[in-house]
Amino acid sequence: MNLCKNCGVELDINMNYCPLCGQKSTQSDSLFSDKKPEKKEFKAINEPYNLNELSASQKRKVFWELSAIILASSVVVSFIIDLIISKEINWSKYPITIGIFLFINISLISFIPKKIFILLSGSFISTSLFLIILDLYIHNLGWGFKLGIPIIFFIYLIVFFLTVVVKKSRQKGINLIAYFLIAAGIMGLCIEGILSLHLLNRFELRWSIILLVSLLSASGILLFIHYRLKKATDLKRFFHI
Amino acid sequence: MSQENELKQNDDNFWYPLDNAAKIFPAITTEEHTSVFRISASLNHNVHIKSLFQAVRSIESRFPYYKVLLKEGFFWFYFESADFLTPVEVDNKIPCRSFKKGGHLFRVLAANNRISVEFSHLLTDGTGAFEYFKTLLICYFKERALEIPSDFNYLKPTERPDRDEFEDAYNRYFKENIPTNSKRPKAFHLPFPVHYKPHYSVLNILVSMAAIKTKAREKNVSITVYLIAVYLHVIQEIFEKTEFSRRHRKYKKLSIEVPVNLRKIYPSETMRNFSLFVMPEIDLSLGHYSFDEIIKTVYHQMQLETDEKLINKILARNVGSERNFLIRRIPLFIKSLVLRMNYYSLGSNQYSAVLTNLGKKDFPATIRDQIERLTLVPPPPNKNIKISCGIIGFNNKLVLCFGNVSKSKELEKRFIQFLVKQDIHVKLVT
Repeated sequence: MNLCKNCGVELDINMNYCPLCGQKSTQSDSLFSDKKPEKKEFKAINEPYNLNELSASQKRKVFWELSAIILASSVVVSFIIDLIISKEINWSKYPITIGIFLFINISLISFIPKKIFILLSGSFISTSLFLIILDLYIHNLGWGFKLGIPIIFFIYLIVFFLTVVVKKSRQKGINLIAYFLIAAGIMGLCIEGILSLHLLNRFELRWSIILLVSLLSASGILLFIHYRLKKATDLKRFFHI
Repeated sequence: MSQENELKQNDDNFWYPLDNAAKIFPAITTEEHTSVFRISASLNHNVHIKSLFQAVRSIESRFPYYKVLLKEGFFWFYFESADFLTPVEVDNKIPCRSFKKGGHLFRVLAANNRISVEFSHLLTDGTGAFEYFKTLLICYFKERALEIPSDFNYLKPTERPDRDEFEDAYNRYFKENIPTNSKRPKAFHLPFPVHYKPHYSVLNILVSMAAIKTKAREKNVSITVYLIAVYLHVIQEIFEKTEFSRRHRKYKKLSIEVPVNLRKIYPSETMRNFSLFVMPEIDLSLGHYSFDEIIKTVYHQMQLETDEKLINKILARNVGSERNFLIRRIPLFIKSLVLRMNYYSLGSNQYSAVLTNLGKKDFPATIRDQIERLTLVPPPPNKNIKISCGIIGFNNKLVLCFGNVSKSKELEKRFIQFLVKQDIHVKLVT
């Protein structure tokens, strides 16, 4: 008798996997085993593993470990080469900073992928710090504070709202492209506004208005196709009283 | 629009409005208060999974009214047919879990020697779900090469579903211009604290049907009336003997909500909801009730309340409000708010607990000894009611399944103690 160890159901003799839970089958001698069904256990992360057998969170942990090793190696190698050639920390500060920045963001994605607000906030703070440090490296030109951080703030804000809207959308089709286009239009508006404030010392919008209107029109058509035409035959049921 | 028109479209692409009983559920269903119930069969062998899959697939097209998704209209929710395969899942989580929003509303589960089906009350009631389950089990045993007598009555997978099975029977039997049922006073609610999430746990009590029947016969009542009386007796004990706040003690009416299968009163083949509730009660402000007094009053109240004319009153109240010209034209999101508020004030505040008896079920002699017992797990009750009881009988075995969202098992303990005192052998089963 071939019993699934996970859910306790009987499998055909030629079944290698339980169609109910996906567990590999095991041959059992008795029809009515007294053994309690064993819980499906994932292998500990420090044991040799088959990537396909890991859960999503374990796969993320593996990805994080690999990334950490690669980044740490790059940082150490850059640092040592720089030290050998220049006898001081010279150009290696760039790969070191980039490595730390990437490590923070990969950690955020690996450990809190579902907490979008915390993930984006953490990422925004680390990116802002990264821009400030780069600015300092190139003799404090001030673009990090005046341009970089305001622009990435709006990028993160728009990405946050876009993610929420996409998550809330019950039907995922060309409506998502429309949302993306609208977000891109608003982003254009923000970028031109920030640039004009920085370069002209006044708020002035030109090309971004044209971009927004074009993208809104395209989005409108896409949303119309998605909701109105798809639902055209459904209006009776939608409005039934 | 008549139902006839809605279903006249291509059979593969039909839609229909929710029936009267189902209309409340989208407004009140939550992750914990799921409105999902379960019927299980414990077999005397481990489930043969290939046969189960084949049985499930062989009846896919027989029950199209269950292969629907809930859609949100402007004024009402409605069901739209969907092309999905019936989900078959491992039964390794708590029973009666909620269904994903916008997804399918029933599932088949299996583990070890148990096959179960879980249905959202949006789709159907216990009777409809059992018909599906019966067909599933018959097909499963056919796959296991067991003979099924040709005269055994079940919905055969080879037959086309009858149009009457789609029927909204509430609307068919609704009578206009009769007075509606009046609002009842607030009932006593068990004063137990609610369990942390997940709230729901079940306790199955196996008793001999013959023993219960003998006891019920001694009192000249049915098993249902007998068990309602035990339920009320036990709640009365809790009311009288346990310490709890004055807020709870203020309400002295003990009432049990008992679903009545309307198919027994009005002829209907519907596979959707077609049941209403009656609420036998005792009023402790009139003094203590002996068990015999409880039996007597429950018996007469059940006789009275299941009278067709009084059922018409409840139907008139429920369906009448749904047909009201103004209510129909209120946008759905406002309706849902009102329904949610009314559910507590007009619904669950009026009774102390729920007892639902699906009755004695039978299978052909060829497969009878393959099934150890059947179990009906009631939907998780809300935080006011806390405990529900689902009852189903098969092969001289009656299973009382107590679904509980509280931290206390006081009611179940007292219920068992009472049965034991009556010389009824009680066994706890999984």
